[in-house]
Amino acid sequence: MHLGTEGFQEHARQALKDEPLQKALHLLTNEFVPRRVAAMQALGDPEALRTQARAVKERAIAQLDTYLEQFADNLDRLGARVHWAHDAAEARDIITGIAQQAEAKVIVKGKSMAAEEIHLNPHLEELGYEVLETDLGEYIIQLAEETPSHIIAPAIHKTRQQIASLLHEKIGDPYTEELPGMTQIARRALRQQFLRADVGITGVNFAIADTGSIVLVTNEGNGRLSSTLPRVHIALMGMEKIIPRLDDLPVMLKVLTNSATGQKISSYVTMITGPRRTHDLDGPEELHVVVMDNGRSDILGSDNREALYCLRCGACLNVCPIYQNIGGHAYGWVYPGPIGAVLTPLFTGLDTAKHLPRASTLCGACREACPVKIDIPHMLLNLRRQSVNRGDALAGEGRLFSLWAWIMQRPGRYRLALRLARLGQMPFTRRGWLGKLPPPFHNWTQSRDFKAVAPQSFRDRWQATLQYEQPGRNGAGGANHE
Amino acid sequence: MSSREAFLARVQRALRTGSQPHQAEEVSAENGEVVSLVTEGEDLAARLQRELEGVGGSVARVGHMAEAAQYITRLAEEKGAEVVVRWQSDLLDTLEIDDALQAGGANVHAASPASEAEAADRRQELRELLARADMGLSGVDAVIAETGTLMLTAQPGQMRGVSLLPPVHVAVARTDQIVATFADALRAARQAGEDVQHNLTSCISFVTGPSRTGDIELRLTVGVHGPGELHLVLLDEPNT
Repeated sequence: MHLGTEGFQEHARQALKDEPLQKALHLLTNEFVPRRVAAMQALGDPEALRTQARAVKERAIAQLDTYLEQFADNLDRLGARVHWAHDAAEARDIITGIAQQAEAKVIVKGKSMAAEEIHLNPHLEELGYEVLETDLGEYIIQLAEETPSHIIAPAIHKTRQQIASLLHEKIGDPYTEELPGMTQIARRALRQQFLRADVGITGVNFAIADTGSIVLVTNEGNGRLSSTLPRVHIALMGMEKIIPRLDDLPVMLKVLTNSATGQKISSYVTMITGPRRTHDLDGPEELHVVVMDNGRSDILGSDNREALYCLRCGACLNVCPIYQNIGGHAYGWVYPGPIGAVLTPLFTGLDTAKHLPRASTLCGACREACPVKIDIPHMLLNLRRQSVNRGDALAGEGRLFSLWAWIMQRPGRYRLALRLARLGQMPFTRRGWLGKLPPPFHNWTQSRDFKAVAPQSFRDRWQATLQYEQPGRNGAGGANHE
Repeated sequence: MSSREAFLARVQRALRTGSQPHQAEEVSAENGEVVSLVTEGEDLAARLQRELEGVGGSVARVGHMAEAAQYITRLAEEKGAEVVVRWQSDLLDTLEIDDALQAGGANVHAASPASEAEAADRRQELRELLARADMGLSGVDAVIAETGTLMLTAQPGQMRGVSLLPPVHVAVARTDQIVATFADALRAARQAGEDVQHNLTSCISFVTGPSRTGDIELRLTVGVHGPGELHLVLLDEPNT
């Protein structure tokens, strides 16, 4: 199921009516947001930590070429193979080539947004490989033949009962709604596959230039299994995953896990430095690291370079008033939420994704939540400007804003406009609210209400009475706020 | 031009044309050191215990080797463990635990490295054992007080799978292996490996509590892929 980004407005409308989804989103907001806030507060000085983390990404991206070379040279030295993929097709071909050479039949996958980005699974399945998602959430999504709706909690849109039925139907174990029972069903089914698998594919959370290490941050242990049991391990990474030094890892790890799930550290942090050594008793014989561009160099060369700082923690999703209401699928592509509204047009072009940068109130909650302080609203505005410049604005929208600007330039015009608005709104006002406006304003009230223009403006009240009242006393000004 | 050169050339071109976003204020701790949550003079063992128990691990503090062995044997019996796979490391060898476990009805297999000629068979044998093992017994290379984290480096006798495949993982650590922070543990890790340039082994696993997931309705469940139980036996006998 792939919705596509063009239909964003329609998908958003559907999502608002989807009751199980609304329940799940409610849960997400109520769980993740306080958890993250509490966890970050417990770090003593979260501001300083975020500044530090941002500085690491700034350094990494500003000299990305140097660090990529250093990373690759280290991997060569360690006996790992590095592959360079310009785009999604190249990345898929490289991975297919490795799987062919390994004579693979079964492939296990750890959670990887980069793999989602290049639609790796359908490609491998078409070629006849048996591909298994092993992250529990991703596994559920795969069984349901759907796509993830959240970066960290991919199956958040499904209820426990839906998942219980799915496990029962697809795996054949007796139906249970008990969480431990459901988890054990998945554990048993997937463990068999881990032991059979010839190739394990994982993403990469951090790629350390000065050691050639890749770091996987997981809670379930599937990343460890995928990178330990199969003979061949393929790690797929966007090129921006680089951090310069091993010494940068503590701070990055801390902001990542605290922001993503509110954990001081995840259950497992796995640092892989090359394939297994001669006398190691387990671990993969071959390690392949696929470094992927797929549009990232275009972002690097634009005024939205900051988008490459993203750690994929999902914190901006959870705090976003838009995401909280419509969920991840409505965004129509791999990366949802505020960062998705930036990344999707950057990766796939404004032609199809022009609605996404507009799906924001620019409230700035995402910027506040971001562990590396990415200025998402700023980039959304950049993209809106681009979008308008290429002619995406609705007919008449430009004229309306010109009119608005003209009105705001003179107090007299403004007062006149207010008076006209007060008259004009009368037929549409219900209890002080505008619920439904006629064209050309109908789009604005389709999914939201506006407060009606007040009978008396603040300026008028000030002139008439307020200026004579004493501040701080029981005057009208103070009482109004209580 | 090779794909690597072409790739890097594109990155270089982009670096020249794009604009650098606003910079974070100059960071004073240039070495990337993170402010530690462990306070000066804090009892590290107590902190470690609190943190690990906080994420669902269990911690048993014992005063001597024999007590550690007893604890592990009792645990194995409780779990009805029939197959136990353990690291081959100095500390575990000194515990002399194999006989005690065997007396309790468990088969114990040490992950002892084989000669290069026999390595392939040995790997296959251990893999099959681990697939049906009821308990994995490991040492640690360090334990991190700040987060309750075990650091396990992959080395010839120290299989990754011991702490990963069995449903129960028991780790034995000496109190002098406790470090305050993750950064301290990384420093220790650099000493552990044989790699001449960076001294890192092929895989370092940082383990904090049992395997967990919140993927179904965000509710915590343990033991989804890795062990559902993690027991740390903390041996306070520094002069061994």
